[in-house]
Amino acid sequence: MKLCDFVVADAILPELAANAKESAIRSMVASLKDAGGIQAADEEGIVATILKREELGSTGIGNGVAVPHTKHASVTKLIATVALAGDGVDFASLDGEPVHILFLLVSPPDKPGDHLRALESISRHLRNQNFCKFLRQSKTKEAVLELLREADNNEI
Amino acid sequence: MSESQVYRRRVIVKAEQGLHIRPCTAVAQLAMKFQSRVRLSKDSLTPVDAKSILDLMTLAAGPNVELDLEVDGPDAAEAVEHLAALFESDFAPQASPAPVP
Repeated sequence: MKLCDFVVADAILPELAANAKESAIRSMVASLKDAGGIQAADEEGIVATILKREELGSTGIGNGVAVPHTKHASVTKLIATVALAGDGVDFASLDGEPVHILFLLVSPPDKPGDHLRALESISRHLRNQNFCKFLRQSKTKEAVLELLREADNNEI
Repeated sequence: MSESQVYRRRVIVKAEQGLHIRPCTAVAQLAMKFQSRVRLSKDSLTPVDAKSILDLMTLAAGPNVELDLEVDGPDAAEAVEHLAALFESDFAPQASPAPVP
């Protein structure tokens, strides 16, 4: 699965100003709504289920990365957005470090395979230190999108 | 002699949703409690570091997928038992192994 298959381009947040987990998640879900990825009526419910998932254990998986996510019946295909937090977000990460790169996923409940494939795609690229470095240096939606395209084409 | 022995075990992902982030986190957190090198591989492909959540996520292991666990190091015998038990229990919280000296 390619990153550009599920990342909603208009929802990318290259300069996330949030400094706490909840506000970061709220901003990202709002951005998905503004981009038309989810309906306004579902926004609060999606935020709530993502926060509930975080209570089971942080999705701040270390190396400055977090992957908050939920399943939600309102989406028919897996969608995601990317946010970059220059100042870092306290995500109660497993390694205790602030998070700078966030991928937020909303997936249909009946497609767990797609969720796994999206996680595989995200993690495969995030293991590439150049990808992480260039991502953190990206300052516009277009720059992030271009980088995702290059990653999809194995050009990094 | 025992320090150089590699312990191998075939484990099965029981989780209905496959090896998503929570099981990956459980495996990495348990593996990190041991000094030994702990690796997992799928379909005889290059093994990944089981102490890295990112590495484990790249396996994209769905339900009922078989993985090969490979542990080597000073506490490998204990580590392989604990990790196999974690898979066997469908990632239920495990009794904590003794801390790494």
